[in-house]
Amino acid sequence: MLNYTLRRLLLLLPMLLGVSIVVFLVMHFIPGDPAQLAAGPDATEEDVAQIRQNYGLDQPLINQYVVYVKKIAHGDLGESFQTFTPVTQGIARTLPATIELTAAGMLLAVIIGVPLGIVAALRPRGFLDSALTTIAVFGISMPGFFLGLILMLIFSANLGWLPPTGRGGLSHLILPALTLGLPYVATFSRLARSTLMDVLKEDYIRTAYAKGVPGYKVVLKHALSNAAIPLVTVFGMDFGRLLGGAVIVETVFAWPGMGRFLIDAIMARDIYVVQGTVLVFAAVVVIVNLMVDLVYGILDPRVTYN
Amino acid sequence: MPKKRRLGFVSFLISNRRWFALGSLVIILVMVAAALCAPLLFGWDSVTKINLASSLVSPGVEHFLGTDQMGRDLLGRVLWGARITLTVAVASVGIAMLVGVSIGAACGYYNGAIASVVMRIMDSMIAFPRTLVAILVITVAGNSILSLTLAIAISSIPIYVRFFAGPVMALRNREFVLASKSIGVGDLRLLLVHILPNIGSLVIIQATVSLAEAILIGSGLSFLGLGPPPPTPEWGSMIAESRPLLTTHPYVLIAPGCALVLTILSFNIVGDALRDFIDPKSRNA
Repeated sequence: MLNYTLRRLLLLLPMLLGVSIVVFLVMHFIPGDPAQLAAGPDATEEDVAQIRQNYGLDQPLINQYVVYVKKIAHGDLGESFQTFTPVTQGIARTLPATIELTAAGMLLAVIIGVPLGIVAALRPRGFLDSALTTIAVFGISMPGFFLGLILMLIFSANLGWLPPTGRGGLSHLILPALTLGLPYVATFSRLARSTLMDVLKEDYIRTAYAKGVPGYKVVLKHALSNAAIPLVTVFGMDFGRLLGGAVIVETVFAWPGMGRFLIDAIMARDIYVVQGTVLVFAAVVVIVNLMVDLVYGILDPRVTYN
Repeated sequence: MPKKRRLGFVSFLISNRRWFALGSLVIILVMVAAALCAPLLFGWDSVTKINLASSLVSPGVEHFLGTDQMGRDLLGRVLWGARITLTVAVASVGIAMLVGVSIGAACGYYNGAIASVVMRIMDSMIAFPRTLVAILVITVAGNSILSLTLAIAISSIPIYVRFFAGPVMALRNREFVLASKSIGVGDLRLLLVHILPNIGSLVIIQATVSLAEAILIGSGLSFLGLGPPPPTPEWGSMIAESRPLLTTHPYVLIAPGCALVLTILSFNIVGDALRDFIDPKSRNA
């Protein structure tokens, strides 16, 4: 397993290299002269030329890319045109907030969704089961920003229970995490329901009941651990979508995360910040998917990594 | 779709008591009508020109849904929003379908080394957050209705490629394809005349559900300020612009928000019903 992990981590490099090429090219095609933007509206011709030289923007594209990759290898993602601070610093400041938000959102979706799915699986076509199907359609139809604003209107403006924006203690986290996680509650509950219903038909479940294992133990221990694998797969597949949703939720709740950092950089055409954050977003998606693959081995002893 | 088939869908909904789906179909038709009639009911000027004298009028006789902070009639803006949203959604899904189905069909049909490389690239694009792909496209193409359309289209192409490669691959080995091949039908004709018509219903179902997703993503991008610039009445940007009014005049946000949710919801529900109608086997899935 260690061997496999190392090999997968090595595969991360060509993947990130690919992403860096794409992002680098995309940034190059942005209309407008980055040196002019960095210099500001009042700069003279010489100032702009100086900046172009300082950032190596007068070099051929391929040279610029080689320099950029060399810098990345040394842990340097360039510096922001706006604040003149290293991009890595900005990412170090904002990444924890994004991880906190996405982790909380996913956790909420799982701890609300999976139990609902279990109950629905035990009473198929019951009230909860049909309610969940209806809620699921609402879940995928609700734009995150509108849901966030409605939650804000109810819980901050009208009831005054929770702070509307910003990052701080647990009370600040609840509304953004709910906004991000609620649409996935239905996804996870429906999935938990269908996989659990399949597992519950298996012979070994009947055997467990027959030998007198209590019902809750059969469901939670025998069945759920086998139903967990599809859940983990979907978690990996949906993680990218969730991260995309986080960009919007961060804007709604003024959450100081990497998504907000990226959008601000795009508005200001701050090239190095955009390149750096997109690269880190890609790395996060790849690492989470690697973790998902490793979790398979823990959940299912039959999975080997050779 | 021929007319006979469409009548069939409505009677399918009635006979199966799918009232929600029927209601959703009506909502979609109302939205389409709104999109078509918006210019007849409200001039472009009346929904974009700032008129502070009549700002924030409550819903009433003169202004059915009231006016926004700039004094523009909200009903007019919501209707024009339907026109813009539906245009962007239909155009982006159309472009993405055309490209996605072509690449997907080619990959499924030839299924060689190049196809597997293309599929791997599509796989990694799918893993990458779709919103980010769209954001990058808009960063290059600028803020306009066209670039919003392109951003949604490009970010959804990998999904269609993946979705359609499989069925084409399965059809490729069926007897009727082999038979056509044996009498000397060329690759292109085989794909267009013999294989693609067989995935037509898949395309229709996928397109309906994709419209919902295109509207969802497009409104999110507009909310972030990446859609067409103001004063264009796009639902997402209308909500973003009225954010400061959330506590004092919530109806200014709720009107476009409800239109948005209702439209997305309707496309999703009708898409589901369409799937049951075309492929009854899928109903228990």
